[in-house]
Amino acid sequence: MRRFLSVCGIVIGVLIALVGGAAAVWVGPDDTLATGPHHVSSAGHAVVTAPGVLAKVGPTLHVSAAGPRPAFVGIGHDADVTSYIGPARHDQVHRLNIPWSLDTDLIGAPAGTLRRPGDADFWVAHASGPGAQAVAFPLTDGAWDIVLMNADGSQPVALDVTMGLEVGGAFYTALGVCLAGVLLVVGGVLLFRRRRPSVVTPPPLDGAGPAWPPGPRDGSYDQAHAQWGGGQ
Amino acid sequence: VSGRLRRAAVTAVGLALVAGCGVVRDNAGEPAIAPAVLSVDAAKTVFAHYETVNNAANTHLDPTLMATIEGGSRLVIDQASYRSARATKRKFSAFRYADPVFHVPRQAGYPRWFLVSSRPGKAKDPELQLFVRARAGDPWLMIASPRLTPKKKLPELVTDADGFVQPAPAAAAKAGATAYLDYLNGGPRSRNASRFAADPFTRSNFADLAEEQRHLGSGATATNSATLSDDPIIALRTKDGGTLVLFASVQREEIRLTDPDASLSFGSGPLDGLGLRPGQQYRQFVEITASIEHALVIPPKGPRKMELIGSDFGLTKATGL
Repeated sequence: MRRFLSVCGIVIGVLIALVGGAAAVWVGPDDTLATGPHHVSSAGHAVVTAPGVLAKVGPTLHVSAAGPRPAFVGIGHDADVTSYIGPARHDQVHRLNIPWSLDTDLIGAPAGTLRRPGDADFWVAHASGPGAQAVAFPLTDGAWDIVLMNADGSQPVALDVTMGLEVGGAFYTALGVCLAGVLLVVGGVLLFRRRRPSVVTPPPLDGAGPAWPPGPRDGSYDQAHAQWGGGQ
Repeated sequence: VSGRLRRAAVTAVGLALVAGCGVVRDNAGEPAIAPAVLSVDAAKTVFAHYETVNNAANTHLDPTLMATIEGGSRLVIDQASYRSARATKRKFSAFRYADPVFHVPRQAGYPRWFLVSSRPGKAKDPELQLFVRARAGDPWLMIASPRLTPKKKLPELVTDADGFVQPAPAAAAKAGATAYLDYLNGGPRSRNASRFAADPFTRSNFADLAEEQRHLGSGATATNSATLSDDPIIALRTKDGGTLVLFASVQREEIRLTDPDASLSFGSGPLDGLGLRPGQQYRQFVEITASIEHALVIPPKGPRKMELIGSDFGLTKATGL
């Protein structure tokens, strides 16, 4: 039983330590779980996440995008984004699978133009221009959309996108998880290596060494019949 | 398989972090209270911008500049007034709006709006300036500015604890607007006439049409038809349980000549620059289009009648043959 427990402890401890360690490495001291850059493209004017994609509250969302043309990355309320995009053709992201795959639908009419997104004033966070453009937004309750576009609102869109979730204290939590795993492993090893209670071996009386066992095998020791160095 | 493993590993890491941190939770969705469409300070900035650009556009009779701050019925009226002003060499003087009061609602969707009541220049009676943002990213445009009828006051509006006004259901507002236009089209003896209190604008509209018909005699017939414009209908709750409705209509008056020997001609006047040639003989028909902006009060259920408390009218186009 003890051996079973110790093996379980070691295995679980290794797993926890690995998970915690991997998380610490992935998160890093900036507390951010990042993935990317990943290539994102649309034949339309924009790539827009559906409100359900940002389903968590608490972390700070980081999104950066860069492309051959000046890029735009923005986060806005779904009511505003839907109104802004209107019937213009765009890719809507229904699901974002971590570490990275997107379920998208190309919707809207091919014709039509969009105003320059950077001129709109409804974004809760946005950045646009040449090179990498990055935004950060503390996720709160509500219907929020991520919007990726060319800065001039033109189509098609082709960008390299990096996303991250900054979770306060994540790095130290991951380290703590790793340490807990290590402690579990150490505990398991110690348990595995622990010996049975040792029996004191009396010194040989005749120099021939002890005969074993010295007494009855049921563990009781009959002092009257005890003798060292010979049989019963 | 490697994909599944990777996903499992990532999920495990994520769960470890989420469980460990305890600061991540599911998105509970939209808050129950809609946000204000903009802050009162932002509304003041929009209004100040309007005031400045409006005076600049008036000075240069610049319809393109005007289109950056006005839309809908108001823009149609003002662009027509620029054409008329060019034809008559009329000039506009700059003015400021006095005592503006801002009425900003909480609202989730589009079009979004806010209302200002103020007095333009030295006018005694206040106007209601209605600003609308049709789509996210569009500019705020003033689409109507009906002037309150003399001695009429803006009804007290319902406000919440933060001072934001409360929009009223659109369906009732549209029903009220449609009933008023039925009354306007049908005349003082129409089915809807008894639902409305007498007001000087509507009374004058009826009187003008009757006078015109008398003037035309038997050689021509004049018909009037007012329809709702494409502008949004805006409704606000009033403290007495009623609704203040702002809407615009397009009125088309057609004068059809039935006497082959008769003709119509127009001298210099309010139709200058709107499409008719002064002095030309029109022998078949003349059609004159106007935009009208209305401020209508729908009372709570009871004996009170609906009442038009403000309006503005502008001729916008005229054609003839």
